[in-house]
Amino acid sequence: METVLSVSNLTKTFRVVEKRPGFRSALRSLFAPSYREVRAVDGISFSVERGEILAFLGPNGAGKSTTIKLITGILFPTSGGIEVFGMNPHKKRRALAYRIGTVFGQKSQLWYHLPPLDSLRLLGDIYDIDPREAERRIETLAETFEIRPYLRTPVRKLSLGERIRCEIAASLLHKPEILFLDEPTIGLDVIAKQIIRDLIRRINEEDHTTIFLTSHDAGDIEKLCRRAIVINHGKIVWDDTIKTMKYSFLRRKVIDLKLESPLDLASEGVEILKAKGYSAKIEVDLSKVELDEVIGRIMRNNKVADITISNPPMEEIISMIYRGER
Amino acid sequence: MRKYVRVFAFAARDQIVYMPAFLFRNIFFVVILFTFFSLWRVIFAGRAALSGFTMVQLLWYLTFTETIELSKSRSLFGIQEEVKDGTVAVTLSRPYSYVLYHLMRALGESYVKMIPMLVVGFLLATLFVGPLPGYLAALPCGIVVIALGLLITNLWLIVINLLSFWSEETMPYYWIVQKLIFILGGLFIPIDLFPQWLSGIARMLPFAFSAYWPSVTMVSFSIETFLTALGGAVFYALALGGLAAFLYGRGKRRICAQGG
Repeated sequence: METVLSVSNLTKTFRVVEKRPGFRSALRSLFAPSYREVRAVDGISFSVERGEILAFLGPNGAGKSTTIKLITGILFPTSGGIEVFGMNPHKKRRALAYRIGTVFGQKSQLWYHLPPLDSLRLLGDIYDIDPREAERRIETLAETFEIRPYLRTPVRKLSLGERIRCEIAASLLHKPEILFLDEPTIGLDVIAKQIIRDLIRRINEEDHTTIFLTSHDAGDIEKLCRRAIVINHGKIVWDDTIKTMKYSFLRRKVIDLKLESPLDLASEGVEILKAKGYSAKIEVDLSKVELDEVIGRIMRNNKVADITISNPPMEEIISMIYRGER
Repeated sequence: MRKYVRVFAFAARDQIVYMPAFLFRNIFFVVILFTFFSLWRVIFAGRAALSGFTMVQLLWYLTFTETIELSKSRSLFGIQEEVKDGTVAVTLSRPYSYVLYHLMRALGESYVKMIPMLVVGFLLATLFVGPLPGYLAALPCGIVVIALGLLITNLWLIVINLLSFWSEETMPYYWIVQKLIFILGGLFIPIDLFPQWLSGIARMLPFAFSAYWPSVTMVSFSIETFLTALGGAVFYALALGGLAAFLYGRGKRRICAQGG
């Protein structure tokens, strides 16, 4: 496998002005401003192989977006090294721009008053793509992303889902080898999310584009990624496959019950999450009690109409990693 | 270079998307000119000339200075905004010169705004004070220096907005430069009306090449005036362009686009 991106001991520190309330403090800070150092990224190291779909996760303020900006050459690191295709992104920002694509879900790269087609053509010129070749690529992307119906509609009149599809299409026009997606499904409804996920998977499978994805949506990670890096307070707290992540954190099982009488169950390691009438949802802590013991007790004490056993949702696993639980 | 030409063309197109709004903007220009015309009629009060300017020349002069002032780019204030809100991450991740991209975008916007103002200014000034003698002869050279005046004005805006890499708020710097163009640049009053020592200095300053020199080339055209206006404008455009490139080179290291 070929390593396309490697980061070693990367640190980024911001100096933030501290402002205290009150007129006197404001006046004082004019002459003697006080600063606070924020270590947004704190000595992280990892590498990414060609064709990977990597989830880069973390709570708000963990340092995810800062890391992307460091890797793409927008921010200068305080210390540490970054290599993307063997290049230093800060020294070769323009050369690197031809080989990477970025989508920042909350920031648009399309001209607001003009149709997406115009922005795509302009991007074709910006990336020095021959106009005929650019037209061909726009055609292909319009087909793949199903954006043809609104390619000529001003961006301001598109729905968020339509705009995001155009944004991703725009970032793929120059056929980047790595695509950085910073919360691409933020604010989208379930169907739009599904469409975006399918498209991301497709470009990864068909074009072998390496995907570097940050998202707060557990569904994005579960449905797309094979590996996850979790960052918190600027440090990497997890770097392994999604499969291992689930396995390592699945100490709990969730049981959904449909009963013919109200639930009768009291046991150590069992928490009743919800019990309403003849249905109940319980969580079993496998470190305290065996699953078959709990099920046996349920079957003995209750008349069960239906039973579903599932793992805790991905969201919960991720939040457990954030909290440092294991 | 093709990419920058396209950015210019797109910015121009972006201006005329809302044609009614685009044309409506000129109403403000009409109001300003009407106010100036009324004011200067009173100041002249039967005098044939003021510091070498006839009333016709002076009122035409003001139509040109105001055309330049009102055609300057608004989009350049977006540099400060994008540095503040982090959108700079999107614009910086493209393979182009950041300064040149914004400059071409600004010029596309400015030159499209300028054309109807030149037409409205022509009609209004002709209606109020009569035709400008030598207008057609001055126009080819005058347009060049007016375009350069706008280039310098927009370069000032780029330089000021690039200061947002250091300063949270750049509007105070803008107000200072804007007022210097208003006064020392001869936007409201031709520099020739100032005391001699001051007009001598003001004529050489960059602010004069934003407003005074292009306008004076139009109203009292001579090859000598044109060459002075052209030479000074090219010199200051290069100097401000160099300053913008320098500030960007230093400032990009200070980008603090923290968070999403």
